[in-house]
Amino acid sequence: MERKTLAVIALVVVVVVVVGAVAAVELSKPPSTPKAAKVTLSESGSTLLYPVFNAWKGNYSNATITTLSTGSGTGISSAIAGTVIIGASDAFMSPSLASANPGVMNIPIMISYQYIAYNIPNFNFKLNLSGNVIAGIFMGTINNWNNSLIQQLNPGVALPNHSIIPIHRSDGSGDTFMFTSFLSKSNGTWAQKVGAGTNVNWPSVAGSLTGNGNSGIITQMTTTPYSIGYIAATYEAQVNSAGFGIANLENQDGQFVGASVQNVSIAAQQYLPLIPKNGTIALQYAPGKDSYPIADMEYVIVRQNQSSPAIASALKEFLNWAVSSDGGSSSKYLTEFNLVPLPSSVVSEVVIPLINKITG
Amino acid sequence: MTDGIQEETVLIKWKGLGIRKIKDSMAKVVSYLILALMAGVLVSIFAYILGSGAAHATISMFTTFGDTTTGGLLNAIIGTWMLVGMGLLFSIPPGILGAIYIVNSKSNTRVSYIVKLFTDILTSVPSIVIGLFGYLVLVIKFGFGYSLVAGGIALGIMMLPYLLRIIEISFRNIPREQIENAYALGADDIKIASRVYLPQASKGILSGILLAVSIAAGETAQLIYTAGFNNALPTGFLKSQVAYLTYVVWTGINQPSQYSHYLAYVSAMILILTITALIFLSKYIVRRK
Amino acid sequence: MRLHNKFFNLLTFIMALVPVAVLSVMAIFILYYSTPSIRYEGLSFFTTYLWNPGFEFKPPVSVNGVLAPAGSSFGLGLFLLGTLSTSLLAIVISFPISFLISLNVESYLPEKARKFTVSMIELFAGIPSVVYGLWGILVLEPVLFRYIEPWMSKNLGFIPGFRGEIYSGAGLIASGIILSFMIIPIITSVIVNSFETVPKDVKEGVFSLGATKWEVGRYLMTGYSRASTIGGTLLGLGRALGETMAVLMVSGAIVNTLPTSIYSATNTMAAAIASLLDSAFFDPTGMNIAALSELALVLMIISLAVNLLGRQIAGRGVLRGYEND
Repeated sequence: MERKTLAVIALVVVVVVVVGAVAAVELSKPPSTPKAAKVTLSESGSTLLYPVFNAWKGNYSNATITTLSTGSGTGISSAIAGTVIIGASDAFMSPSLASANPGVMNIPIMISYQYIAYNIPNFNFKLNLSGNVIAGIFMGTINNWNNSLIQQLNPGVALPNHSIIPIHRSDGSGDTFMFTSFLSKSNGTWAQKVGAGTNVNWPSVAGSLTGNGNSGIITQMTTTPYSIGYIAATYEAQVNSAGFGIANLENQDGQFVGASVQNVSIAAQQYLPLIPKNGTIALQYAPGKDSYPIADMEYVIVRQNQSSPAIASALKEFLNWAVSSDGGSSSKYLTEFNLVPLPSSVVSEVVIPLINKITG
Repeated sequence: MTDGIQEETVLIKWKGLGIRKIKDSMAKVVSYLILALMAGVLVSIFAYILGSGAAHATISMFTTFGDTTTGGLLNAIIGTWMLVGMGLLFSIPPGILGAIYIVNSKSNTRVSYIVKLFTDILTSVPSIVIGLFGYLVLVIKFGFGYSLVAGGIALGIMMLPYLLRIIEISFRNIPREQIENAYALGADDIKIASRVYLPQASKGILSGILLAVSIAAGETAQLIYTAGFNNALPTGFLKSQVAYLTYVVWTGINQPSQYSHYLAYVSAMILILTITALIFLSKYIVRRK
Repeated sequence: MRLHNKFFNLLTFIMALVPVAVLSVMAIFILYYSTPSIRYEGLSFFTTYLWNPGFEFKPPVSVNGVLAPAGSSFGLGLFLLGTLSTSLLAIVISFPISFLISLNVESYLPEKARKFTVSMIELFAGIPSVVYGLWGILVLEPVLFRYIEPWMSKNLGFIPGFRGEIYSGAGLIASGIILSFMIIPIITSVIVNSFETVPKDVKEGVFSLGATKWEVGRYLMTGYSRASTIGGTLLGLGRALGETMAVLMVSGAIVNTLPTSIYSATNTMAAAIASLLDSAFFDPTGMNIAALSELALVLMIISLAVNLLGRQIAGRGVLRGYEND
């Protein structure tokens, strides 16, 4: 090859690569003109809340919202580390995490719930399951679908003779928190051995698998017959199209309750009057005959001190919009994703004061 | 050695020609079969990826940004390009200048030996270890955040040993007389580097760069915890996350939606095509002597 | 003039030290970040297979002077087992294939087809790890799950470990197969290179004595290449040990559950670091991250040792196909 041609090619390659890198970065910077300098509010975290943030993103024009679906654990740590402004999380910060980071708040924004879903081929029954049974499944003490404890809750139903394959999250997950909190409150052995958290010491169960994110659980369950897993109700459409069954769960009052927005609102109402000023509250395993046992409070994790007054005021404005019933918390956004807006008393007494603590 | 051969020759002759010929034919057939098997697997992988990619590719995937569940791949394509570019920025200077040092006869031989040793060791560091290091040190400790710089350095760390090695070899392939003549004519080190080393080894250097790019474009573990991901383009070199194609392949296939799978297929297709082209180009350049 | 020279030489000296600096800094930092875990776990890190992140919502405890989540205990046993078993399976698959391909290229294949064939094998090394993972999930796993593994369990079940419940296609076998695709190019190129160093006259001499191509390959060339073959296999092993993404996608990435048969899901050290780092962020004591750093440290040391040994035995000429993902 001609030396000159080679040199030219080489030069072109290097220039293209380096210039491309620099130019693309420069081009993607927002215009530096003072007019309409929209603040960018970056969000990352909960896979449960991701669909809703995406829906808000397109319809909120007072700031540019960027979203990422990474799991509640990353959402919290990113918000604490300052790599994003809004960390979306299905779990509040643990006491030790909160005391280690006094300048970080968890602000409630809405109420969610979770399905216990199962993929049993050629099976159309809606199973009744209890915290004790589910704990048994995820601890390996109940390892076949036709186990007597499951049959007892479902008399007359023809249960298949096959191993159960429990599927759980591998990432730091608020859904895991919700799920394990429910199990801890309903089953003493689980509380003692495993406990609740975004990541727990999963007991050894032969054949169990993991998934990354709610989507990962759904994908894993789709390809694994006879599996059981916990999935956020925001993914109802995918759960239905995958043909999974959704269980009725036994609540504290011993009633088997279906997963629905009404039953979740009822459950939330049992605990919400007790919500403390810092917003930290667990809604799982509520009393009341119609309460759905896996209800959960959703949070945005934000630093109290933002890096600039512009960001602080944009953030406050956005959060106020998010919890208002004619803004982000209107049924136009929440209904599709099976989310429950906060009662106005909670908003005015707890949420707004927390938002007002944000400074820049 | 000759004794050994004669012994074996005796054994061979003793076993009888027929069996030996059969063994030979069997070996021939089996090894060809294995080769055919490998070729078949390669073709199947390529056909599957290219096929599913081509079947589901749309123009909008190449022209819009996306978030691995909706939209397109433009942010990931540009992001990969930017990250690899950053990586080259960090690895080309040490690659070229470091190689010059190593082949320079005036350099300390012990230092050269240590450099070569460490370079070799660097190739064996698993990519996830580089990624973990990048996260703990670049993203958190140095405060770069998930960024172009953090991802670029992580890729650069991986590319550097290959570049250094290949460029060193290219320099060593330059006939000694050329270098000695240049010294004899009174040229200093800088002139020799720019007038002899670089031009003569330009093919090797370019080939090395293309190879390094082909490797870096397909990396993931270094980038998950240093570049993050971005549903658009990064807005700066620091503290702004970057999208990249391998991430789309990894997360896309994990999503339950068919469209995410399509995005994963198309990303995989783009990657395979680009990397294969780069590998062949890098070989073609050095082949023409 | 002289000053310019001096600066230039200083510059090249500094640049040459970059790889040294980078490796040293990496090793030092990984060690530094591992120390809390080393103090907390001590030797039990190496003797337990459980990875227990403890109770997130109980107050952290202080052990040996470091803070850790209550009830936590980290062990690499399961991951080490997975790494070793998947890599071993990969070597068992790759070695004969690489040897036979090298033999074929060297002895049977016509000269003209050689470059093409070698390029074809090298192409396996260029495929990105995640693309292997993608193909593994979509093509390999279903085939394993529906056809190959049930057949194996039925017909080979007398072999210990070959009889067991097949929960899914993910696991040891899928990982081993995909890893072998990645290391075949490495081992093949080392063996082919060393076959080519056999002196022509010795080869011709043996041929003239009436040896068949198979015998020349099996006895002569192998004899010359013993070191390279072992070295090349070690290099392939080193590559397999550090492989992350493809294994993450097809192994099942499980924790806390020991495999019961070769059909069980598994996990490797590299894949575990990648999949567990995310959940480690939530631990305010930082112990979870320290444990992962310690895992990375062990992985780095093992990879390094295997690679250096391989390089030592095989000679420094080898480079292609080393992408570590």
